[in-house]
Amino acid sequence: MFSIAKKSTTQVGEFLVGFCFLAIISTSVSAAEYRLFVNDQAACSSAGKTGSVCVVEIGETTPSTVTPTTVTPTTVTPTTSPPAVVTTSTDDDCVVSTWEDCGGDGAASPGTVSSETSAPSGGTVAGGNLDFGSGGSNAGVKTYPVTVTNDIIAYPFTIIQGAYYGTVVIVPTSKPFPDDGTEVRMWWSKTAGGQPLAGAACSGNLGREGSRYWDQSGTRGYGCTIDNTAATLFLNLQACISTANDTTCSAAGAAAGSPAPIYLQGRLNEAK
Amino acid sequence: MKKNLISLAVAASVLGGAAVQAGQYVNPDKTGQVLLFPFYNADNGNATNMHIVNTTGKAKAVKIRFVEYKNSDEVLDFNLYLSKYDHFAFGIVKDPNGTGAAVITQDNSCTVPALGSPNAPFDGTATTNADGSVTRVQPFTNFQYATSKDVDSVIERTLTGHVEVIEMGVLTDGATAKTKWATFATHGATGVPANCAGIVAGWTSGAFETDDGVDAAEGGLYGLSYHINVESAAAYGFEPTAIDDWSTGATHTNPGSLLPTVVEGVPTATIHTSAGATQYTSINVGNGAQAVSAVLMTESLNNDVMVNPAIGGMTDWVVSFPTKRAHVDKAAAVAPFTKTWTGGPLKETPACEVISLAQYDREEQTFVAVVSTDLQFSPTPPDAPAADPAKICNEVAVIAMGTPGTASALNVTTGLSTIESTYTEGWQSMLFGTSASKNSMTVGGYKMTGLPAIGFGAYKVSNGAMSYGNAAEHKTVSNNVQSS
Repeated sequence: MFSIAKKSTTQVGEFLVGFCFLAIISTSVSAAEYRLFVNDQAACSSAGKTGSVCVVEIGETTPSTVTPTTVTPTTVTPTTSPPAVVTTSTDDDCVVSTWEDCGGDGAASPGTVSSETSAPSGGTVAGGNLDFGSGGSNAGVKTYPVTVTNDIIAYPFTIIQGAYYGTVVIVPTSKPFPDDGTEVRMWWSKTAGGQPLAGAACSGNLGREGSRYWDQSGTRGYGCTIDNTAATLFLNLQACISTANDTTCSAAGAAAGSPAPIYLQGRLNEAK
Repeated sequence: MKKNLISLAVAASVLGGAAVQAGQYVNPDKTGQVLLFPFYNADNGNATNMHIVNTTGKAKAVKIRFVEYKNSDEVLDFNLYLSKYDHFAFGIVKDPNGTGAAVITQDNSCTVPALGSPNAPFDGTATTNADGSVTRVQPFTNFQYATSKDVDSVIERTLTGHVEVIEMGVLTDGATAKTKWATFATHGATGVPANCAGIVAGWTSGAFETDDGVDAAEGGLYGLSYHINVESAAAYGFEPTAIDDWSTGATHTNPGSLLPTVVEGVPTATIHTSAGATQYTSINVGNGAQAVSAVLMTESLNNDVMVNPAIGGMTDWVVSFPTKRAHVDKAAAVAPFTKTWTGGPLKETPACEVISLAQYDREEQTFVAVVSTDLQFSPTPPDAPAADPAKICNEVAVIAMGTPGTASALNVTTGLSTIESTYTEGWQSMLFGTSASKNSMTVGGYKMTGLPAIGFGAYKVSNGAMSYGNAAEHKTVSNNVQSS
């Protein structure tokens, strides 16, 4: 038997930064701090960028809507994840980091954005608080209700070295699933909402019910092949109306999906 | 072919080909990690009784799931914790306090939640009998489809369906006194689990979240079932399809969850190719739904038909598609199915698949219906048969052989349809699609024709006041597979 929580209790504590962000998030790395603007041509323009989506180093411009205030994280930075940079906003309803949101159901508030993104469909990226990776804390017996929207939910997918493989599954809830053609797409990426990892198994149109497999052990012969090195990848979910073989809501003509309630579960196994 | 021969064949295939893990397969030994009962019904005084048996010396966590007949929407599930060598028996009957179906049992095996519990507005009951046994009744629910905007949201939709049994793993004993899961599930001298409350507490306390309590599933479950109507004095035995190597790990999930589901097993499948020296080949299908479908694929179903009026002959065919929902409850149908299901909100559009029937009498005379999809000379004969091709629309189809209005041998009314039978005795072949356009899917480098179907024929004869029933599993054509 492989016990997830035994392995990862410490890491859970490390991840629980416990702050939130709203609307526009500032993301810092050790030397510089950046902000991602989505659908905000004015902010991009004032920073000398073109288009409505841009990454701007802090100091280049000032957001017109929300003024984030940087605070000191309350916990240590995890060793297997990107720097835990946290900001708060003027909205005191929500305090989350990239790894923790305010929703009890694992879905972040619409409109939130996380660090460096490259959304295939140009949608915003919402930070999720679940981590089904081998170094994560949520793979196991629990299922999590999540409402997937046209905003990408990017869950961190932490990898630690070892002969691990696993599954991510979605199923519908008792709440009505939209009947307008909305389906849920899921993919793994190196950046939140970024391009899928190489391989057909690394992204999929799950519809309203389905599963995908991943393997860092090299023993399965199926699923999304993930390097067996410590890293933080991202598991992305997005709801859209598109062609059946569009696995990342990025096909020409892909339209925004309606909010799609699902249960989400990750499972983790260790090859013996 | 026995399991060990399949394994050898697969091993040979794997060694000679790509490094693909041997996939899930239908175990001819009739034991496995997953059991698919093709049918239950609780109409008109009917009861479908089922047994689930753990043939191994290890305690197991098992998910029991009941799904309705139209779209395989779940109507009830619970976790079952089987002791080693345990035997769990239950029936599916009409809810004594309602109009839908319910599960009823006097079995002592540990379930979470306990059967007979509140579940408003479909509350269960637990009644202690004079001998100390407890009769537990847990009604099915319509939550999954009534709130999903289906036009047909009535609870009576639960009266017909099929049952999935999924081994979630082998129970282990944890390190603390409160986590001795295998010990808790084991029956003592009194025949009751040592500490079912301890297993319940594993969920309420969150202990299972710390230690999921199970090792990987190992198989060894078997099931049997019989459908009975006491008044009409006939019973029909049938067995589930057993799938092994469905999972390489544990899938132990909290009660109250729709997980695990039958379509989330390993994405590899061992299929019957019947080509060359290797009769079985393991393929990487890419997803669990089509992997299960691959092992259930059959080009046609074949079985007896007996409707001789001299002996009151009646025949039902039960045809079930256990994975259909995963293929049709989508924006676009996924092969081998071709139509999508819509439950509402304005009208129900079932996912109907065309079937082609060939009927034979006992002396090789045959009749093949002419349908509108066939090319015909003009003018057509005046007695041309029905123009529309026959179709199957439900995920569990109960088809009485005879003219419309023919009664069912199984005494079923919910979801009943009919097929006219040309001969009073003989056999019938049901092809999925038409001879010119068969249902098919191409996965893992192979094109396989047909649909993933299981089921049986049910036969009833009457002799005065006495009647008799028997059932026979459908014969399949699983080897019409071509490398693509």
